[in-house]
Amino acid sequence: MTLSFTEDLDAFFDTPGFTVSVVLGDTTSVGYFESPNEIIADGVVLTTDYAVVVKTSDFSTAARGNTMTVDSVDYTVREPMLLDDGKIMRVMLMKD
Amino acid sequence: MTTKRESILAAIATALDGTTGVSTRIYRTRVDPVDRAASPAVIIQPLRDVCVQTTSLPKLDWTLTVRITVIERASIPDQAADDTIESLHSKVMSDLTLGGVAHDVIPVRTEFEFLEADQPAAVIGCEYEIKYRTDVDDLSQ
Repeated sequence: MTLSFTEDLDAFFDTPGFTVSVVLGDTTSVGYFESPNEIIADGVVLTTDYAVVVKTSDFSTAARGNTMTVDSVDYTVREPMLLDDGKIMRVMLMKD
Repeated sequence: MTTKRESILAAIATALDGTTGVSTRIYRTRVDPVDRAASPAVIIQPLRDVCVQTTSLPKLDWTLTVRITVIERASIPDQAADDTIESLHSKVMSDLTLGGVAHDVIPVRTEFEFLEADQPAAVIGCEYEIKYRTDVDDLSQ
């Protein structure tokens, strides 16, 4: 039996209070912002892994070095990483 | 009493006072990770201390390997750390007896590790061998 349904990613991102505004050039949408701390370099460096999870179709042009404004704060794109089937992606960020 | 090893490490820490670019962020064997606010920083730590007895005298000849690590965050972190490395090298090598506790200070190697972090980061380890001598039965003499 084939199970088919139509994905509605907008429903996933339509959660005010959890999502924040994301701006890249002329594109404005929403995403889930993450900023966990991580210890790297064998315990020598403490860093913050800034990232935002967005719809790939909204930010398909995101590339390393782009300025992305998340919740009114400017970041620089490290790399966009597609998740699962590629319809959403986690954009890894640096903070200047 | 303090071992000569500890006196040497303390002498290096003192010598590095005023190292370019790190202000007072010079740490002796820091085990907690360096966050963004504490960068750039310098960490002094011993790696190993090896002895040989080459004469019939009751003396031990030691080689203490010390790593001085520079942690830098910048778009080109090794380039940003260059002034700090130049400065610390001059300070360590300015007195090869480290205030009279060592025979010699020998630069060994510099190792680079680059990291993708909240800013591009580098951990740059500058290793030195410190030659010194103690009594067989007293590491402080």
